[in-house]
Amino acid sequence: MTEGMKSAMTDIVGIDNVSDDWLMLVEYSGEYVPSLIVWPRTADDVAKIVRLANKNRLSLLPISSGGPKLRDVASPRVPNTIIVNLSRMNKILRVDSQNKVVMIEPGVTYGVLIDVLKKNGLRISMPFLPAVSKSVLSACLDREPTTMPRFHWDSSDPLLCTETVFGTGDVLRTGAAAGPGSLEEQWASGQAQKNPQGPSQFDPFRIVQGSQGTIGIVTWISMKCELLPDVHRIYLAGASSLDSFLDFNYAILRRRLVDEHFMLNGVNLSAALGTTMSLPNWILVLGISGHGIIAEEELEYRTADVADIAKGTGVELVDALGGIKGTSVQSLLGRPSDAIYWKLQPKGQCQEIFFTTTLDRCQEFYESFKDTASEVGFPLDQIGAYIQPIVQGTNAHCGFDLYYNHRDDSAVEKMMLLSAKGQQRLLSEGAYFSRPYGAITDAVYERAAPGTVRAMRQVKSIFDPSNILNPGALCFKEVL
Amino acid sequence: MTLGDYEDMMDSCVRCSLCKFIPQLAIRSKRFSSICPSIDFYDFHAYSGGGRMIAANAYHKGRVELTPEMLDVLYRCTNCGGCEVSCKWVYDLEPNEAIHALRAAAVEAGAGPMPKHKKYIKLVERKKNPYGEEPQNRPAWLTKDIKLDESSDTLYFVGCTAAYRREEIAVATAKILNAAGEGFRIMGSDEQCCGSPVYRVGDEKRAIRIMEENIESFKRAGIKRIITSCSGCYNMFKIEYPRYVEHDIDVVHTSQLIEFLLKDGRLKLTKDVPMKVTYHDPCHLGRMAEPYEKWEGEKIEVLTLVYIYDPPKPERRGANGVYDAPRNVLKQIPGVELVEMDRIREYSYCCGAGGGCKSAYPDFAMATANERVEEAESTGADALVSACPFCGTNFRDSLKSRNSSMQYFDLTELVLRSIGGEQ
Amino acid sequence: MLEKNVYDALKRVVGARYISQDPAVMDTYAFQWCNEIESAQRGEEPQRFGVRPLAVLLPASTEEVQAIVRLCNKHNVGFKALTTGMGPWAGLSIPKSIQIDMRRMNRILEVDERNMYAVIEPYVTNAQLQSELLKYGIMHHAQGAGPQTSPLASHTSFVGPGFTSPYTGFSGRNVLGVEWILPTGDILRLGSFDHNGKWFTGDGPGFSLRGIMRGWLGAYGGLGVFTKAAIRLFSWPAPKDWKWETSGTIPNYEWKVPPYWRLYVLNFEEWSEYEAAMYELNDREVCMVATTSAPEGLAALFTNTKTEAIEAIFAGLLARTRNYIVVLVAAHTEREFEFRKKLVKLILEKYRGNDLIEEGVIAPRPMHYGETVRNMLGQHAFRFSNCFQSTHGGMDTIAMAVRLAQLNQPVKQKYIEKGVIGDDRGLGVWITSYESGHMAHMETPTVYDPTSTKSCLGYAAYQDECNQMDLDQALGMPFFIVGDEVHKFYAERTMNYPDWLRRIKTTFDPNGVSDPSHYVKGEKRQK
Repeated sequence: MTEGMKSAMTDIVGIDNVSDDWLMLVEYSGEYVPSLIVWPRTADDVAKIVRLANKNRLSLLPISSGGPKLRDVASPRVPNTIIVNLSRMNKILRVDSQNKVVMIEPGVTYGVLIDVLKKNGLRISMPFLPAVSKSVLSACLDREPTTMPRFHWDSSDPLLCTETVFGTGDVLRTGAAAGPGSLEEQWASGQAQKNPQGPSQFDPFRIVQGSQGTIGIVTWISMKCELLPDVHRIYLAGASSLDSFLDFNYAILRRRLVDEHFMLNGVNLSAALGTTMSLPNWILVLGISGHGIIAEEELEYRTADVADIAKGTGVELVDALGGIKGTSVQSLLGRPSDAIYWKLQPKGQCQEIFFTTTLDRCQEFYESFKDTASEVGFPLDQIGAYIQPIVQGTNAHCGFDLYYNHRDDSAVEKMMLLSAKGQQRLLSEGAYFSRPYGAITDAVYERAAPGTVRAMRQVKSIFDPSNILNPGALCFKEVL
Repeated sequence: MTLGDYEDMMDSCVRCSLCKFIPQLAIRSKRFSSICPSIDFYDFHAYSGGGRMIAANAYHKGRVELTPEMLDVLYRCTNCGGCEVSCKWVYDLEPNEAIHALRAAAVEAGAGPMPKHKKYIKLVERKKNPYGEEPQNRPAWLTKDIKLDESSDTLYFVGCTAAYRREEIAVATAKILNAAGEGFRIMGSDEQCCGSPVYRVGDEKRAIRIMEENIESFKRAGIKRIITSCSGCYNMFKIEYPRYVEHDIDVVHTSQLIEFLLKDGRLKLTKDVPMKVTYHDPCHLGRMAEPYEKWEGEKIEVLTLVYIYDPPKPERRGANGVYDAPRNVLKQIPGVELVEMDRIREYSYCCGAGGGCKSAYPDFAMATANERVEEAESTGADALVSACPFCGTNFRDSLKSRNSSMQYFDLTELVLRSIGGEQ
Repeated sequence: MLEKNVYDALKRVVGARYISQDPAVMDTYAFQWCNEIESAQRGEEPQRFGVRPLAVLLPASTEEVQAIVRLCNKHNVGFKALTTGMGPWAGLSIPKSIQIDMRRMNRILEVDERNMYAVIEPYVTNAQLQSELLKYGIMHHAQGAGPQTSPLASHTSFVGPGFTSPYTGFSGRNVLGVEWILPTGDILRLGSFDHNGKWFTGDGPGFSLRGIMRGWLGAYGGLGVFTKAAIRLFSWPAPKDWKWETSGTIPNYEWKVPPYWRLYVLNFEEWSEYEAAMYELNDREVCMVATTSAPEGLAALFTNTKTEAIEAIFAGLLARTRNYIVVLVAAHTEREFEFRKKLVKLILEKYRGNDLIEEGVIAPRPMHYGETVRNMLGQHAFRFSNCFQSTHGGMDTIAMAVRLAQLNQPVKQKYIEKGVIGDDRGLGVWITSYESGHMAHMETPTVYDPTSTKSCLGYAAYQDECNQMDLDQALGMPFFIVGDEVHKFYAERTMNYPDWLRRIKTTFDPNGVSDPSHYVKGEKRQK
């Protein structure tokens, strides 16, 4: 990184927002150590950075979250990468309770957002116990699954509109936010940037979402919220196999009766609770709520209908499972993790593996993965699992968390072996890595049709023709 | 009415495709959701009621000529009126009328009708029937035990198909009338085709001449009431004739008469006919059988661009066709269990024979009958029953070609059985 | 005419029976609703014949479609695929072009009842799909164009509001994996299919190619051909043994209403009360339907003929109707039903509304329940004059829909006074909410006379003024009449988005053969 470039960046963002401090750079390193970190303050800064990068053929890697990296995400794959750290753009720009929407910058984390939303009578459907430094915006951009499938109408939810700086340096507000008119004019006409689609005949937000920073840098998003419940209960159920929950799950998802709805295996629930209590193989977590006029009656009817379904499908819903109370699990919901991320607590490190499938195949994939684990000697009681129905149950996020001691070379080796072999096997058995990370990425694109890869590269060539944004990620080893 | 009279109407087609399907509210399955045999078989939009109307519009505007393919488009249609039933759910349009007007225009221009049509029209002119059979053989279906009353003012108009092809229907009808003590006469070898096959293909000049001749001969014979066992003839006398030739002859179909005779106690259904049946509504007895009531009035703008007719213009939607009489009769036959198909009443699926199609496009007619028979078979019924000899012929042909175990009966045949009149 | 060698090559793909170049047959594809507005604007007699294709083909398979598209590229022939094809967007603009009629590709390929999606071919209609899905106790989202139109077309290519939108959402958000023949003839299968043979998601790996596929509006046939689509399904709130039964005679059918269903027409004096009620009802997820039209529209919704609608209007319906929401509560269980009914009543009281059905102002029959869920109500607007079209279409919040309705009223009234469009006192709207009220849209169905030059020009002028209003007052964009001119009109105030559209078009349709009549033309054609 030349001094000239550093100076040019300083001109854009100010001296306090540029660093080439070695220790800091190392923290962001991947295959390569980045050469600079910049913290833009505004969208305008970002646009200028991108234009400068285009002009000088510099690679940029946008990042919003701090904290642990559990999935080989966001690290430089080419030399001289500049980290564009958006975490200092951390304003909550607008809260609209009537329209159940919030507008946030990249640096806003879950804890901060949840508190502000509570004061405005709102909540969000959020990931399960995210890291305290996790950027809400980046989770939305990543299609991170959220715990309330009833509110998950499209795979893109809760992401709505965005302001994006594409790799060309052009700025586009996506969705209804594009206009016509400025944001202020839109607010004056009653809009709230709720429609994520468009403008017009394309959906740029879908191209940015899931792109792992290869298409554009997002400087704000609007995000779907729901109203806070007045009453809220958690129920649990235990089973040795996910299949025992299948009929119940499908029936519940159809009816859109509940809020939180997901499954954890015993290992993961123990880790989340920080307990060593013995738990069933699988624990189903169900949240039911009521809000507004006759909230209690709403809770009552929902609970009663759920109970009928449980009875009809052989699932026993309880307030407490073994030594675990529903209220304890409830305390895990709607908030971020404690300061030390819960997945780091059991063994010190954790490797996340996840893919998309349908609920009826989750047990099968779990068995398959455990099979591979046994093969490579990875301890089965160090494999956490999280099954999250998404898109109102049309598909499911299936996540395996490999807990391991990163100071133990042998443990690291087994983890890597399991990660590689396990994912390969899952891929060959039909697991769909719709959000590919790490070692499996290349294999995923090999399995995808060449036409898909070509089309993606064609899209890349439109929005980031110089390939300056996170080059090498996804299938962008080269750009057309 | 000519194409010019229909121009505004043709211009108003929204091309929405309702005309391809039965009324949307009635759809219960994908398999039996369509109403238009023509587009089902030929697939291009031109073959739908709306499509044909657009083609008529294009011709009227001088955009296209009557090419061989366009004539095929025009004549590969049974004129069943299904398109109109569905269209009228929402629109004030009459695609079936536009289709007829285009056929008339095609004949006028010397391009239509099709060669097979021209052939049978010549036969009608020479031999009073499209089959080319000898007029003197027309009453050959009569059996010795059938009593006629030459002085009666009730005419049983047998029709060409019952007389020459579906004699069992003529016999059954005559015997039923005898059993009920309902005096009647026939025209015998003087009977002339009602003109339907001539009219439907657009040869209006010749058709009107036939109508005039028939009415004249009925008047000369002092006929006050016509009974017919053919839906096509029924439709002609009741609906089409009055548009061109004034007459005050009462026209009644055998299904209506039998219903009346049962109610009146003059017919008794005593013998068991153990059979599960499904009933096919002939187009010409059903949706096409609403009379054209003379209307004179004006169009009044009640809201901007919204007009009503004053006095109200009768809406011919197919609602007032003869649907209940045949069913009421079937339900009274001991042993008969009636099961309905998906497509019934005003949204019945055409048998495929009409509009000149059985002659000119036999594969289309057969495919359409097959489609209908498949629907009938799906009900689990033993027999398909209808009330038209032309439907009967087409269905019998289909059942035979499919080696189907299903049987076909005309309503009159089952009634005859049940009154103990069958030999 | 097409060159003989080109026609012959196309004929070899589909067979002689399934290709035509007869002018009369072609004209049945050239003729489209709303073309008369443009012909009137050109100074001609209004009529609906647009660009005549040089051939029409009926392919039976993805492979045949691909072969056709490749030939089009090779011989520089434009193309556009259509299903039932209702509207000018189904028609062509390139003089040397063909239509690909998807009628023969009409299968329901798969119904995954548990994971709640169906995989369909283009020519499956909404009513056909609905009737087959009912057997599983499920339903799909059907677009307002009507039950005889194609859900694949809506989900992949064309907007997607519907009467059940509060419960079933919007077509563009309900589409999962698709099989897509790009304008070049390459086949793209979005999402999961290539990884496991299943269509349960259309996104990834990585970002989603749905992003270039349709957007809010869809490419209106201008970016290739869709041959399969997986679409989301929803629970049908009726007991397992309930069957769709229609009896009686047209137009006054009987229909068996499921046990826990009830229609309301919740009427509010003030827009503010209406708005607040709309928000609250939708947020509480009690509505399968929550939709608004003009008082005149209400007369049309729950009657069966034009005469009846007019009689209802003149019987004093207008005097009793203000700002109303037609709500259908459809519950799965008695418990759910009782709760929802109670809540609707409380919300109605809270905002000082009255139920026009309870008061006998309008009396929907059982068949109207059936028409509501079969998406037939929108068609009733045609009863007035055989013709209507909508201006506006902006989709964001309930508040914007209300504001748009309020601002539009005097504008529409102006044209009513000129006698060029139907008189609904300027109150004619269609508002529906989506996804439990998270979004709403507003369009203004407008009656006009397609055979009258004055009316066509009047409608066009009204539409222009509506577009200008959207532009100037930040009220979203219109749904229907899209294309290069409209894009140019909105570009500057909408972040010059057409530039991106054009790049997408150029990249994916380098030869410019996928007819762009209601999409965008690409940048310089490569060939």
